[in-house]
Amino acid sequence: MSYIFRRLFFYLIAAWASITFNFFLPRMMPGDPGVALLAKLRGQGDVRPEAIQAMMKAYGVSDDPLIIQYVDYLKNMFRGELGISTSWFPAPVTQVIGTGFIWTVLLMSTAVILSFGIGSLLGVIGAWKRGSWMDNVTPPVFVFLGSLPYFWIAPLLLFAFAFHYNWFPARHAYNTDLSPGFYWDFFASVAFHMVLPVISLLIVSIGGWLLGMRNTMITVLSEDYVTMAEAKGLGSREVMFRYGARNAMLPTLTSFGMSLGFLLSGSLFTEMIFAYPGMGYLLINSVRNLDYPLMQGLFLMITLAVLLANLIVDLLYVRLDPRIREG
Amino acid sequence: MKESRIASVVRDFEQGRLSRRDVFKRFAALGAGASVASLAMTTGSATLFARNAVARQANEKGYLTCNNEQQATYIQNFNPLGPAGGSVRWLSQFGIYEQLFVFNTLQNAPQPWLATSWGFNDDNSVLTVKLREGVKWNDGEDFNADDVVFTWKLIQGNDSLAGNGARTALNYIGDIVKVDDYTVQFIYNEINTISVYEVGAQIIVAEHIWKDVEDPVTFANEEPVGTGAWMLDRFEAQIYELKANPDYWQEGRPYVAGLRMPAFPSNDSIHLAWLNGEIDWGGNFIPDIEATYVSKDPDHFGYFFPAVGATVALYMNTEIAPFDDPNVRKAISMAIDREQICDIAMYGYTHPSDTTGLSDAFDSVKDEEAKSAGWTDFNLDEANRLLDEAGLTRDGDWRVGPDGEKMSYELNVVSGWSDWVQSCELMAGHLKEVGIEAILTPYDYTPWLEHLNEGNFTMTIGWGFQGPTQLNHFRALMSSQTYYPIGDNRAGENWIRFKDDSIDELIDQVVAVPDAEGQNALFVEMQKRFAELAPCAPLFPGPMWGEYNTQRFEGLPSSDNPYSALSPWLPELAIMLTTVHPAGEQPEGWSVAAPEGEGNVPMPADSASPVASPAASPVS
Amino acid sequence: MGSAIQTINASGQTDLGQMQPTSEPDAPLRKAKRASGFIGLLRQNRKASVGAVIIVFFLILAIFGPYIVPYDATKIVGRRHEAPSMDHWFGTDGSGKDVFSQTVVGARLSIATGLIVGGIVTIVGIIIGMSAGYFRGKVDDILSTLTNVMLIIPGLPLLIVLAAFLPAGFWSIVFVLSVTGWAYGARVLRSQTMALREKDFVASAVVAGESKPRIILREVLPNMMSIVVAGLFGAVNYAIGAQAGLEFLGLGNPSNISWGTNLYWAQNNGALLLGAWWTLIPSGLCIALVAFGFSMINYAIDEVTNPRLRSQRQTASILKGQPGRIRSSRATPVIRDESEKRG
Repeated sequence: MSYIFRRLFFYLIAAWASITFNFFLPRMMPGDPGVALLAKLRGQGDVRPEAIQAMMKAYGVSDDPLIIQYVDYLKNMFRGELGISTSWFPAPVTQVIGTGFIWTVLLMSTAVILSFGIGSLLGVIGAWKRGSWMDNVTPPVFVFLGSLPYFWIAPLLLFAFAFHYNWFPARHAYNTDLSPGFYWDFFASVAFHMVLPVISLLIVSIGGWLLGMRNTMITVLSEDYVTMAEAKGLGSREVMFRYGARNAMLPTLTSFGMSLGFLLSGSLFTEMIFAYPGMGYLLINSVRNLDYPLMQGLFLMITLAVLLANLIVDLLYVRLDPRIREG
Repeated sequence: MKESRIASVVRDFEQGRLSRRDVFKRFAALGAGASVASLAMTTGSATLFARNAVARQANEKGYLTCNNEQQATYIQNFNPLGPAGGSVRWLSQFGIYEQLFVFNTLQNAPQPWLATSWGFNDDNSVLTVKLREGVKWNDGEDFNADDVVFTWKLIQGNDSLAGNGARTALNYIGDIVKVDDYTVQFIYNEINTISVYEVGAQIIVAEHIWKDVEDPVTFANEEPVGTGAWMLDRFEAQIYELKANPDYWQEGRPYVAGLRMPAFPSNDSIHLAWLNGEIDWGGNFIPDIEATYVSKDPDHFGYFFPAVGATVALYMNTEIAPFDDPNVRKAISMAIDREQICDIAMYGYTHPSDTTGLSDAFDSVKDEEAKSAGWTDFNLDEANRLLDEAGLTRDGDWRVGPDGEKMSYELNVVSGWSDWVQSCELMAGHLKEVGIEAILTPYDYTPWLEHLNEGNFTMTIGWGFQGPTQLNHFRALMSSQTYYPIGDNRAGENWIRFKDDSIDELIDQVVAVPDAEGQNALFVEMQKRFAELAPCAPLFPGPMWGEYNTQRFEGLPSSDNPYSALSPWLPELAIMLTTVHPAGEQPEGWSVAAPEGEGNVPMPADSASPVASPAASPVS
Repeated sequence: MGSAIQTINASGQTDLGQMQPTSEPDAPLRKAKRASGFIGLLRQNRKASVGAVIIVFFLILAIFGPYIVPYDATKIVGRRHEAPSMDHWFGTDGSGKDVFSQTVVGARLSIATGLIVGGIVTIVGIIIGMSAGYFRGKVDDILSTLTNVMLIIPGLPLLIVLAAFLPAGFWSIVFVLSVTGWAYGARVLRSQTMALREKDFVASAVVAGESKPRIILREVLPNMMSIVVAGLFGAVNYAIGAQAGLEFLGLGNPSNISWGTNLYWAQNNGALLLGAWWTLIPSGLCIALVAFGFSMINYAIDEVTNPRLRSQRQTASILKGQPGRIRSSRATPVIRDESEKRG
């Protein structure tokens, strides 16, 4: 139990540190949000400074000393008020994030879960069938696929299968003629639009899970209790999964948890290349436009997601690994 | 879904399982229309027309597909008075709401729109505007002078509203007065006849809606009520659609049932859509457009890039030696091979600038002498000679500057803008030939702009400033009105920190002249001064991007019918979208939208109007 | 020993991360006579050989290539987008520069970034990780918290924020990648140090009166070399890939020549739209091959240090000469050296 409390305490500290860092970093970087705003007024001739000041004030660009801004920021954050986005003015930050959040979660969690599942399964089978051609060929092939730069292979895929062959849609999360709702055609359209992005992510990420699982599995399989299980006459599938995979899962689970945590921040390239809505695009846009409220809101969500995932993994670990329970 | 059935026919054809005739039969069965079949016969590419059939099927409502924003998702905001870009939906400003008149950049003339005529009185202190009768808001209310006065007073009373013209015109205008239901007067505190273009540009909003709005700055205006040809039909995160206003004031127009704007987050995703023939109208930078786009369907795919956008120039900080010497600036200008830049970096889309620095929009009013002063010609010998004369001698490969050090300067550029980066790379090579080292220094957009505003740069590439008249150009680059010293970051235009007294005088004079002819005579003097002093090195006039696809719609501007520039961000979209019609269905007596009106005529101030005291003479 | 695996990292790119150590370090504390030592085993390993050949090839290319390329990679030498031909082996790009020369010259900046960032990240990881693992207590608490916070801050957004505001260029990218990349290695080294710390040879060194830095550097570190090396190679991979990604986004200096900027220009000049595949394939393939090479070496390091992972073929060849009928076994064979038998 004290283990949990210690972890919780650490997470709180890490959350606070991360949020503070997220607040100060963009403000320490060179760049004046006023300039970004001014840039939008280009071509309007002589806008007087008083007008510019008024506009900046309306946008929430503040002149207060940093510490005061920081305290206000923390207070508002606990009330759930994340402010108004300057680049999507006057939409509140929560609304802007909302447009992308669900899509990123959907796309990336599908990709991560499938990748973990398929990769681990292949790893388990590969470890079980050592020396077979599958075990000799599959890992190097997937390692090579994993070495391909994502932003290079994904456009090639898009171009080949969505443009040249027209098998898959080239953009968006669903057919734009449909309105979102709870009906079959919409869900089918969403699934159809996810195929190419998810496949592109699978190609570069399966290798990692595969190798990890395989190596751990091999180590586990040479343990005495596995030999004992085989000697007792248990079927090979049962030994493979109940004795081997279950124990090999533990270290992989930590990585899986971390991956889930980084879901929200990993989709930038996918979104840009497949024109898929999501948080990655919001993030780079907010950086480019010096949209502090939106940047902070996004960082906050990502940080919380990572911490939450880590916490859940830690709790699961306690349940799954009795050795920790003792301590 | 039909979409997938057509796609499978295409696949079968491509894999050789179907002959072309079979494809034709299958399509007929799917109800894809006779025009599709005839297209198959003529283009000789079943794949292409099949692909387009997919797009055409998807667009059953007959809406025109267009795009002007780079967004991944849309937020429902149609407030036209906040600063544009990012927050307001594109078509809000000139599609749903309208202006008093539309300035046609290519024709260099204003087109009466919500106003039929306008003009100054004798001493240019009162601008009278006569409004069009019979215009209605799309909820049925009448449009009249109350709306105009209300809009202007709203902007006047609220500094955080940007508007699109009123903000700057209000620097000179003191009061806005309703004379009668269709006449409004603008009373000037400070004479400035050229601001008439800003008055005409300002969008008018409905008084009966906006008078109840608590905070016009944060008002999202989700269901906009405008006078324009378009009204909200459907709004989703990935696409929004506008439908034609059935009671629009131009009889019979618009000819198109509606507009649809799917979201595209990047240039790459738009390019693919263009190549697929999915977009009907837009204005994107497409590299090597003949080979990439037009060749895919030469009968229907086209582009029109008139070079009437602001000039792109090489700016030198004129408060840093040796760039304070006009001969040095001219020499550097002559070292640049503009033809090569236009050809390679700009794919031949534009041509070299002349020595007025103005774009092609003002071709008809350029002075012969001023535009051929010669220092925009590529002339290495002359460049070297001038630099030698200026005392910048060579020491080996490089020249030595006035500080005794090698002439080596940073050349700033925005890192993501590949055409600019390429231009700068080429220029660095050119400057090397005359012994000056230019080091390419890319920045992200905002930091780049900041450096310029602060004057914290030596050389940079950048756009110029262009308005309906030549005033913006000369004022931005040569006038003390825009001047702030190095370190003061309010210099939004005069980055080069240049000022000239005779230009200041000419500007004071020109804003007191009400007619174009008189103004142009003064502008000629400014052109000559520019040619004499060479405050910067203009490179090429900016091409206004515009592409079209006539498979479904015809009537947009093109090089065959250049009634306007084609770019979708221009106010002229109001003209374009009320002129375009479905392909093959040209309305009887079809013509370019040109609502009647007398335009700019002198208007003596009406003695019955409650006019304030006559304005003072311009503040000197 | 920890094994180096590839996982999805923040940017959706593959990234050699490291798992928690799963078994005892098996380093050559006593050197056996035959097929001996870490390096020796590595050399025999087929995967390592493949990887090493690739890496050495690219290193030579990076160092000497720019001197022997047919054209100046910065000059326009042909018409734009010419297909590969005898004159231009990889064709020309969107401005008319030779793609082959660009690819060869680009190797230098890309690999240099990888090596420099990899080096910095590894050194920082050693310093922070080992200090935390060895000294424990307060030092560990502070350093651990610092490391974990850096791990939790989302990497890609941080990369973008930093890269967008620093002046674009080689050293900015090196700085940005180093700052975001050191935490993972530090954590692994920390846990490894903690495990090794309990060993007898460390205790004996303490008793013998050796100074702490000397113990860390002379006793503990050499026994962790395989993890350190694996981490180094993983970091190099991360750096090369991330640099290319940043440059592709336009956050690098587009007038530098590296594999990333080559891809950036290819994309911006409409390579795919025009079907000019020759501008896209070479640089991307090079990045992939270099990453593959390092990954293979890491894969081999895993096998060498954890004999259980050694391929069936190797085990079979070892077993062949032994008495007994065992052909294959899931258990790890233990081979006694001749000299040991004599005692």
